[in-house]
Amino acid sequence: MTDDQLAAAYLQRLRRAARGLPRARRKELLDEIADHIAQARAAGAAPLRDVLGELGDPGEIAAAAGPVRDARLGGAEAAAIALLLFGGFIFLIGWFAGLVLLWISPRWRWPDKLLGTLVWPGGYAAVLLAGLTASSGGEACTGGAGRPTVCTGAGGMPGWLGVLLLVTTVLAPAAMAIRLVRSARRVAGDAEPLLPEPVHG
Amino acid sequence: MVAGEAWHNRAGAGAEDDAAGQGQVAQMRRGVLPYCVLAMLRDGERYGFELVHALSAVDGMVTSQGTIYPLLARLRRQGLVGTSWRESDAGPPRRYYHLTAAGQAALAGFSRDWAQLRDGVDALLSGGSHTGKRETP
Repeated sequence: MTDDQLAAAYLQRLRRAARGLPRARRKELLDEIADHIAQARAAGAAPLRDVLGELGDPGEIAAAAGPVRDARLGGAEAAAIALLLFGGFIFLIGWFAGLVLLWISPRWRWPDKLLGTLVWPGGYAAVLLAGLTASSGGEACTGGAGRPTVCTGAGGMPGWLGVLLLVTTVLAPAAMAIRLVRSARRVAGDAEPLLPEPVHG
Repeated sequence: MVAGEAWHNRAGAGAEDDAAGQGQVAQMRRGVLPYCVLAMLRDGERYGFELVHALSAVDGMVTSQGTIYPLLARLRRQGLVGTSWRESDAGPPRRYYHLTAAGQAALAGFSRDWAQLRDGVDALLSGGSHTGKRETP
């Protein structure tokens, strides 16, 4: 292997080992190590093999930057989110199962758990049910030749408000799911192992 | 791979550690390392590569140079060190690290605590608690 290949292989191993880190932290780490290697090579005091040996094991370096193992979404958390969204179609029981998984997970704090519970109870099954109910209630459109079509939804709402309500209702669970995914990851990435206690000062 | 072997050879150089004590020594080293990094910046700013080399020149202080960089990043997030980019004569710009006021305070606090701990441990190790000087309130 040439030195270029050796350095590239080392950085590739580090990149893989650091996969679970938050993006900015990962990039910074890779930049710093790449910079270190470049400067050591420019100085030319030691063979590259020794430089890399002294840098240490890429897995160890990545581990020092944060807990990389837990940074991916856990299986239970993924199941919780899926069941909250679509579990309602499994005789509604599925949604309750998702609810249980949501509340027993240590990855989420209570505001997230509340959000997952309230948007929307029953998930998309409930959204569909509400949609069917609303449409059977009837949306009346009056109009015809020469006149603009005017629609009123159930309860006499203007049509655009109905559409807005519909879009919000449909998108809200998706937004909730995205938020839960993010917060589950964030909690995992927050822990800082190396400094044993907060430094006083 | 190749890199790992060389690293192990180097780690073997700390021959004074017997196998049982090594884990604890490593843990102690991990605990004081952040403050050693702060101490290296006391006399002025340094760039990462230089700092890592100076640290690993101290025998038994650093077993894996690469782990210093995450440590520096963490100290920066905690507001104990700051960074600035400087042009260098040769090559790309370098990231220089310097102590912040909070970093100085943390270092001063640790210096006091460390001196106390070191004296206490030394007294116990050399004389035992019966003959050692009594702690005065």
